[in-house]
Amino acid sequence: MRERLTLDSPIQRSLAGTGLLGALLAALAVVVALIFGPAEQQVALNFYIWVIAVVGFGIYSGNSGIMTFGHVAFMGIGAYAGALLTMAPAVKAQSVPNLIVVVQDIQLPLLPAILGALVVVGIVAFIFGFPLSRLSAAATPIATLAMLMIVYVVLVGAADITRGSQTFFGVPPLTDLTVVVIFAIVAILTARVFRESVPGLRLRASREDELASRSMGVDVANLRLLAWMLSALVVGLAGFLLGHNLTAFSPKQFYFTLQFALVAMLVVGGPTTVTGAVGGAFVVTLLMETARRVEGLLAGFSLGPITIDHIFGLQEVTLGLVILAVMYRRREGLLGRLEVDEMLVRWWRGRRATAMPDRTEKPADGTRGG
Amino acid sequence: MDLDLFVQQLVNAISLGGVYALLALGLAIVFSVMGLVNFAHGEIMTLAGYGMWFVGMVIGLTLPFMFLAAILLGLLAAVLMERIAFRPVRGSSVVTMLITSFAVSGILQVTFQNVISPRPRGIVFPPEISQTIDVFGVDVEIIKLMAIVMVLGSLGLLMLFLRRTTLGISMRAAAQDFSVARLMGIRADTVIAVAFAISGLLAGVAAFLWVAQRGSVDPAMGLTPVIKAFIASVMGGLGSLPGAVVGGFVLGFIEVMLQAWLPDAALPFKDAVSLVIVIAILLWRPQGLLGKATDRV
Amino acid sequence: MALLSVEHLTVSYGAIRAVRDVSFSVEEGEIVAILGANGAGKSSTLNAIMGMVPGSEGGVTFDGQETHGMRPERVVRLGMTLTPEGRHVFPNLTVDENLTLGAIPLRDRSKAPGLRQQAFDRFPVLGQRRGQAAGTLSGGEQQQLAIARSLMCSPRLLLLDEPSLGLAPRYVDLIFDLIIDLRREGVTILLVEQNVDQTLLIADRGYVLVTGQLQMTGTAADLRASSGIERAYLGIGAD
Repeated sequence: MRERLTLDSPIQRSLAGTGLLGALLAALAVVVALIFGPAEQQVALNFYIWVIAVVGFGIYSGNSGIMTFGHVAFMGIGAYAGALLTMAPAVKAQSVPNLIVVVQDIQLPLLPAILGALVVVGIVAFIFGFPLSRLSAAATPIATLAMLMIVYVVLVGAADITRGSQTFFGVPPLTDLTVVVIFAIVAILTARVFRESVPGLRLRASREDELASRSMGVDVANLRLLAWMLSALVVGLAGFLLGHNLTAFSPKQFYFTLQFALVAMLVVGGPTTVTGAVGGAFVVTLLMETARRVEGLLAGFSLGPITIDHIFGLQEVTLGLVILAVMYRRREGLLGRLEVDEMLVRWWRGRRATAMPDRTEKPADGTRGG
Repeated sequence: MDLDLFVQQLVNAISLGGVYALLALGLAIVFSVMGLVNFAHGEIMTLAGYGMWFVGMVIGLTLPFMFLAAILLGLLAAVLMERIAFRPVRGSSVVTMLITSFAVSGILQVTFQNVISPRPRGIVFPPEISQTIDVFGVDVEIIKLMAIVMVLGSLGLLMLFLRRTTLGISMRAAAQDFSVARLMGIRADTVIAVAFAISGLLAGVAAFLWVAQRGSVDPAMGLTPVIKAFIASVMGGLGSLPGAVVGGFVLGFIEVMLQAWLPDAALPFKDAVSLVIVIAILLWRPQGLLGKATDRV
Repeated sequence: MALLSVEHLTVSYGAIRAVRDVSFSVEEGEIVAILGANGAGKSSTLNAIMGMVPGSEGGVTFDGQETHGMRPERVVRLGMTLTPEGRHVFPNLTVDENLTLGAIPLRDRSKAPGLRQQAFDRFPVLGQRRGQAAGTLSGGEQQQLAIARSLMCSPRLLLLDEPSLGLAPRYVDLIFDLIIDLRREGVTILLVEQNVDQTLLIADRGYVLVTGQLQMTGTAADLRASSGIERAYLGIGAD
């Protein structure tokens, strides 16, 4: 009898992976809360929100292999819709006086508000997702740009609801470290379960070879739609949390700059795994923080005759260069194609193989062995 | 609607559609040869615009020189971009190239902000171009006529190039079957560089027309028109050159019609409505207006 | 010295070895055939010789020059060209335009009009359809166009990949007659085919590939006489 460490069922794999990542994230949160001050805690809070956003993004783009550029639209909708549900009526009366009475008088606690916001996100996601799922894999990325623009224009134009391009303020600060960590773990679990599930597997098959999967009867369009909806909801959740962390925002913040960061995080870590998404969020958050501090240091810096007034967008340049570095050198992303539990299983098998050569295993060179 | 207004709107539609068509065509040429969706195309247009500013405002030369600056800078920017940023990912998947161009676009935009200025730079054009002349009894702005002439001229020259020159035929061949084209002795490097060069030239013409009607350049100038051009190209049929042209003109028509006919309250949503219309068209014909029905969905 | 010399050619597509340690040569003026069943590695061999396959190792010498690792655009200019399997004419270009492209590697451009006329003389149907899009031609006509296109650069060595595949019998005869004519005009031919009988009637020598390895070689007469070929095609005794 041979003892093998295997994680055979999708549930086992999902739970194992979520458990590992979740433990790491929770530990990090505890460390930050105990050791670091409010500034670092804010960075950590943002990080966890990013984890949710990138993991959600990966549910669609990672599994389908179609890179898209519109998900921050769902973040914006999540933020605005959520805020309208959680803000005090008095504040709403002042800042968006023309709002429908029903919404104006509501003030919901966190969970119901999240549900409400996700309903709105879901509706918008379906309206766009349906035509998108019928497009070719090459045309979809461009169409998602259209979606991003449409949502942006609507957010700016619907000034009665959103205050247009002016800052939308007065959002209650409902997010804290505990809340975001819990939701991050929920997001990771959702993403893993989908990835390991039958639809997820089929979608990933279509990523590798669309023609082959369709000839096997895989309904690629509807799979993509399913992943799209799930992905939008998770990303919308991240937007809700982001909005309630910022407490004041405008549509411009949910446009290309944010989308750029989101793409960077997914790509840097590795688009095909949830582990990669989390890792990417971590690396990019670190880079952005560093860049932000350097930017601050360089402002007003003088070197001889050269004075730098202000450097714009050091963060964006850093992100861009990091994306290029990954594309040129390590396309699968820093964390590659394996989930954290799969890496563990491989490592474990490697150890056992060197400790006790297993005679019933097939030799690697394909001969029959034995 | 009276004839005056109609003709003016028609002229508007053709000149705006023409700009989109030029941009979309540049995108389609590069895509058809390389499979690259070049997000950074907008930055090529912006750079061409800055070239116009430099030549016109800093050095102080006249309009023809500004035009030359626009197309030469567009050409140079495109070719350099291919050589430096895209050569390392040539032959890789569509997604990889897409993400690369996305990154290049972001880096360039921020570079413009820092090296030049985050604020728009004004450009003074000779006032004559905004004057109107009488065309068949209707007053039409000269710049709009220039736009139509330039667009049609560029399209005509491009068609001549693609049909009559060996290099042009080589490019069409490369777009259909890249590896067999190499068997003909067609150099991969040459074809790709020429594709980028053409896209740069077209972007330069588009930049000239765009800036001439707005009077300024800013770091993100190219972003919106190029994204719309992209979408127009998808609407016409991704990778199809005639499709790109048709898509560009159709989008121009849609935008001008909306501008003329949307009620005032809905005007801020104009861009959103036009894009929704495009998505509706795509729902009806996912392969694009000129795409074949057998194209992959 | 052989016109073409292939040494220890190995072609891999990722983890799959399509061609293993294949060596052979082609003398000037010969018609040499490479035979084998589907998937034996015949096309991969030709593609690798032309430099179309990045995953290939080994030595390829053409006319005294080491060509392995060269890009196909360069190889073609040395005087060796390939008519690929499946014809691969450019469907949206006219017959004329296809021929124009074939002439690109020509050193002396002034020869092009003459060569074009020669193509029309050889294949009258192409002259009739010269303004038509190549994709509208029938399979047999497309094959003629593909070969005509290859000949536009006056190659010294012509690699033909399964020219008779999928063609009606009268086209097959036409193609094989053409190959004999070409040899008479001084073109050396390396022919990959599944049609064993016709091929061995016109070839001088042949090689038989089985799952990527050379199993048999000999003059056409010897090969015709041996029973080994059937076994090779049916996989009998193959490893």
